[in-house]
Amino acid sequence: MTKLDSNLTNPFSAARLRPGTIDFVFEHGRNLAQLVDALEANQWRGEITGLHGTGKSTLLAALMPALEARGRIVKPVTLAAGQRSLPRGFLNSVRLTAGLGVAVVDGVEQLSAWNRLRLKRLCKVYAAGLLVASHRSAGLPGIYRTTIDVPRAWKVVEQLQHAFAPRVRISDLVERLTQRNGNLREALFDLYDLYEERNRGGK
Amino acid sequence: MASVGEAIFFAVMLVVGVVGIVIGIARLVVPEWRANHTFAEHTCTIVEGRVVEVQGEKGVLYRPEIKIEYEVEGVTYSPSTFDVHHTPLGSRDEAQAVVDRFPNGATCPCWYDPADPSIAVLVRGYQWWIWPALLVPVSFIAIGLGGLVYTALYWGKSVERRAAAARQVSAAELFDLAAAADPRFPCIPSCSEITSSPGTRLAYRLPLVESPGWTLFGLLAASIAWNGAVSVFVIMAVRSVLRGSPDWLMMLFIVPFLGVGVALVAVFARHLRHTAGIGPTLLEISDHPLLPGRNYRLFMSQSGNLTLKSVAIWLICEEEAVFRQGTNARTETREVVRQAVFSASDAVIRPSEALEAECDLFVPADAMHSFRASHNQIQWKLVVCSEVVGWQSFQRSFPLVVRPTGGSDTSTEARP
Amino acid sequence: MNEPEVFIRLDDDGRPYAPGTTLSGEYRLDGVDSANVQAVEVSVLWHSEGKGDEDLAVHEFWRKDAEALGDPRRPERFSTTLPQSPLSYEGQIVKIHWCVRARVIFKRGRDLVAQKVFRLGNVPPARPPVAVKPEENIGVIP
Repeated sequence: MTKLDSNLTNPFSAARLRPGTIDFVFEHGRNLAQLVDALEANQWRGEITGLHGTGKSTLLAALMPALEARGRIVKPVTLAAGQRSLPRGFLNSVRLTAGLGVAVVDGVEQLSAWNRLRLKRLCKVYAAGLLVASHRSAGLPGIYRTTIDVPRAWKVVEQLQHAFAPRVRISDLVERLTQRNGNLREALFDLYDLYEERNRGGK
Repeated sequence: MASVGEAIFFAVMLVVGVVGIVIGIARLVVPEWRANHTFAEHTCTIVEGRVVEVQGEKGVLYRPEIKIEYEVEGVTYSPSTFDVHHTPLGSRDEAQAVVDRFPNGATCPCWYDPADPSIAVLVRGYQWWIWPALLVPVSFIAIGLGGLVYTALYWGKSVERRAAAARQVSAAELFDLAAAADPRFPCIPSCSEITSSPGTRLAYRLPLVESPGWTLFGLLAASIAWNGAVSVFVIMAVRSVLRGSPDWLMMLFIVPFLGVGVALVAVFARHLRHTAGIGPTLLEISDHPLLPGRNYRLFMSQSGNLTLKSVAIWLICEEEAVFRQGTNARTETREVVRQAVFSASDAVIRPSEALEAECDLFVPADAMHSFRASHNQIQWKLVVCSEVVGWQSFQRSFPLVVRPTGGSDTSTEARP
Repeated sequence: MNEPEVFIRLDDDGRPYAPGTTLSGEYRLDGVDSANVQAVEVSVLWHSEGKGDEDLAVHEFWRKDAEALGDPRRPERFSTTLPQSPLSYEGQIVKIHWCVRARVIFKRGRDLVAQKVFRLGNVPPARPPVAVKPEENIGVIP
């Protein structure tokens, strides 16, 4: 827990679930360096796919500093639901990276088919990389498919509960994950309520 | 905090934009302006006209090129020209049509540059495409300049310092609705919507959260628009039948659309009957904003033509939290206070006689005040819930503002 | 040398503050190389916690650059009049926390941050309401 968390009362608060605040937990034998190597081997083009709430945005947030450490200029954008086009100026900013850039697009499936095609084509024309996160394949080389299993989800919960009173048990996590069809984000929101209840009840 | 990388990026964009606009003005705007204002009018002889192919970004373009001859101060000039930009056209036919306007051997007016008589044009005027083209470097300048200003403002600044600066800016926004709320009570919503609406029995009339009138209007507009469009095809189909050659394909095609149109009308009619039958619910209060631990007087009036199985007024406090992460947006509400204020049963309401009631409203002494921020809210409201005999139940919500104790200009007595 | 630390102490430590009253206290630095200090910022702010994105607003902000700081080990006082709202609140899905936050900005190295929480007002924690059917005929039908 950081010093700025010291007055928080619930480890599952929304601010602590943001990508970049939790470390991504890889499957056994996989790590960040392997993903960066795979991206480099594919001319910095790749996609991360996975169902809702399985950690795609968290993995993207972990990858960005690793890409910068390899000398790439990262140009990130997160698309909102229904956002069919890229923000004005985004592709120009990628073009200005003079071949060193990697466009990182979270939620690429929101773009219209035309804008997706345009994004892929222009990144090639500008000699820039393209890393996307999406629920389904966007036609780029697959770098990682995010999934949730109980042991890894429990590691996330342990991270969150570190320095807080441990009121949530693994059985609670299993129950919520099952109810939420494997959507860890929604399960963590449910655990917020459970933690709150137990904190007040002193259980 | 802003970084060196960001500053360099925005500086490069600014430089690119400035260079682009300087080049654009020098090569596009200035020559056109000079051709229209400073070129001298003269007479020339058409020597030869032809269409020249040029390779553009999107393929081959065609430029009309007309060789003319004229004399200025004893010197003969023979440039190939058309307009000041040598504008290419999209098709050979278009370019040929321009060339055909200037037959060989004809004399016609031309305009030459007094600073360099070898430059002349046969047509003048303004090209519309220049100005949108200049928007490109302007956008670079805007992004670069804006970014540099942002970088300068937030260079090395912590999140607390930026939040403190944002607070000063928002207080200066004259027309910002959020800034219209009382500055003595930060993050408490404005009461003006309520205090500007006087009641007939008590001081203020509370506004409805959702007016059934707007729902009705929306349904009516949708019905008219949809059925108006569908009726065009219905008329065409009917005419085809009357002509003796029915268009079965079209009739089959419009059946589902006709179904939707009929459904819209039915929903509107049901809603109209519902609203007209139920009538408006009025709620008035003796004072506003509310304070914890204080007592207030409420007046309710329910009109219509219906029999109420039961009616109740509840005082409710709800927390609302909004979370957005990329494509995932969730809003959650949670009730934290539900207090009974009024109830009655078996009441008959006639069009000429509304159900009227008065009661006391006590705001709990330990109540949290109303709160509104970008992503989180605590909102108080009165909800009138009615169960109607022979109709579906309905409820209507009336927002309230509760302020913290020690901050009010009201004179309502506290409950001992 | 000890690890650098910031200590914040509030006068009347531990008691809830009423809106409109004065919050005062002091901060001091320990184990800090004064030559490396660029500035110290102290803010009195509130932030939200819960199931929504975090909201934050600064009520009072002070900044002292290195030249004005003097000996960083010497306690520096601060004081402000607290606002009427928002009050500290322990809700179900929305909470509001007040704190004094001190941030030491170094010429080299990461910022050092510490905060001290305090309560504004005395609003009790929210509880889920128990649904109770209202008594018949509360109120008067003329």
